[in-house]
Amino acid sequence: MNLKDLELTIYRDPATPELDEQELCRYVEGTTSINTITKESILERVDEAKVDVFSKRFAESRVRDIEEKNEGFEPNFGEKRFEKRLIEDSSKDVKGVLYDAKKLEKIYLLLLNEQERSKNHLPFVLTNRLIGTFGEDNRYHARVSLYGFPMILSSTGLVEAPAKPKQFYRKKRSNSLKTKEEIKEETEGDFIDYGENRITKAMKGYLLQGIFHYLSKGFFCENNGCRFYNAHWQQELINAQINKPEFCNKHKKEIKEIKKRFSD
Amino acid sequence: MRAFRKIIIIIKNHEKTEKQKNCDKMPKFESAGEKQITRAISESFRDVFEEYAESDVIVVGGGPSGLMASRELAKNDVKVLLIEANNYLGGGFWLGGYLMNKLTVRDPAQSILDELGVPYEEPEDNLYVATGPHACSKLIGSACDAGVEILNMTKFQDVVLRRDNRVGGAVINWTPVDALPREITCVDPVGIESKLVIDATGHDAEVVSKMEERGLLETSGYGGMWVEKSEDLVVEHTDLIHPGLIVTGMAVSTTFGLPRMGPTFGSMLMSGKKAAEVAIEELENF
Ligand SMILES: [Zn+2]
Repeated sequence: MNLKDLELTIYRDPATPELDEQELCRYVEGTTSINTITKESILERVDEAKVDVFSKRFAESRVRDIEEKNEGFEPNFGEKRFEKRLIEDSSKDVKGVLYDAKKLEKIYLLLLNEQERSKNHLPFVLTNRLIGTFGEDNRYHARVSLYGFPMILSSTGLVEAPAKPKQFYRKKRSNSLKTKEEIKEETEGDFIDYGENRITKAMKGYLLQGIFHYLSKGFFCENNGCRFYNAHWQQELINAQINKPEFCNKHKKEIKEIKKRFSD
Repeated sequence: MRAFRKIIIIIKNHEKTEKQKNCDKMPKFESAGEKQITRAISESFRDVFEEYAESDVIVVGGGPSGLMASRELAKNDVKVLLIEANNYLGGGFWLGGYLMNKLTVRDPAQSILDELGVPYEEPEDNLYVATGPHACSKLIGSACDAGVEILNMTKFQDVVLRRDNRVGGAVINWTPVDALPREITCVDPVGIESKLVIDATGHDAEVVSKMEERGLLETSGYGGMWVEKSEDLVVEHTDLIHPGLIVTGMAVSTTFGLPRMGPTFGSMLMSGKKAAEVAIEELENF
């Protein structure tokens, strides 16, 4: 495959208005020169006649018990109904449900057309759904991204997966009536929250990580100030994705090389 | 449908005590014999029971969410029967934390307090404090005013199923009968029918559990939900869980494996309201 034929598509997520897919698109083109376009929500692809089929599949991909791997179950009526509403209104915020990322990946793959599944196509699905993968410690862990085919980037994951300062959870437990904002004020240490513009800025790094994964380059960086750093805490996320500089020297160089390869 | 509602207040004129003799100038109640009283009670009860052997919606559980759902439905001219296992309505709504009769709600649940005419204070921004007995009695009064029929001391025992296992009513018995061992009582329950049933039984989620017991419904295990994202997952997930069955209030927590929370009365009221909205939408398509 000629790398220059590579086309990156970002499928927008209407449920996360603060995640600006146009800005992500401009950023990827500007940084890597990879041909990038945006498309409507992938949920728009669900054929009207197949809404029930896909509702069931989405319901099947939910994590019912965080400590038990989803090996398949028969979703109940309520769970299917919940998914049906999300398909019918892709701008609906998905609250409280964790999905098995690998099962979601299979559903999204079904929604790509033949051309989009071809080798020179690199699809990124933006979603409001919280995704997780089952770890070696026998429990699910929330994630920002799944670097598969298609790639999945979760805006909810950006807020929920990297842990907030310990103090936050302590305060939250001791006073359930306090809002997040109030606790944030009292807690030292910043974190990215829903509705913030920083969501778009932070997601840029995960897009680049996905591209590096596709190009088979080792993509986690030891340098905690670099966009390729694997952040486990919100403070680390902010340091890696929001604060300057963007990249360590090594990755700065690699990005330059990629840009050259795609623009020549 | 409420035409048969009769209000009969007959208070027996008891034998006069010394004290009462001194109060002969006070107004007297009409005298009525024991049999008239018994007839009045049984006739009135029978009328209701007969009429409500079939209703639009049966709400199981008379706590804040069940009362709120019933009230909203009745206000929309839905024929609604509320069954409550205790001899009192309100559940935990009479009291706040630590047996203190103050309860707190957060924005926007104060709008419901406004609707019910419950006075409250705002000690902090968006945090409202009301008095339990005041809020609870207003809610009960408002539900009754709206036309909710209530059977208390009535225990939900099982679901009535229609074709395709759609929930279509409840099997009920008197609470004292239900509480006694089978060997002592052999009072069979009765079935009442409805288009929809709302499970508002709190943490026990009795209707949902019965469905699970029968193998008709499988719910999440504990810890199946990501709780950080929303302050109000109970309201968010108040919905039909099975054809004919809506789940509301703390029963939502049990059904979806949400962690137990403190007395979040605002959520209970909002959840009840949402359950009614879902029910009305369902009834339109019934
Ligand atoms: Zn680096």
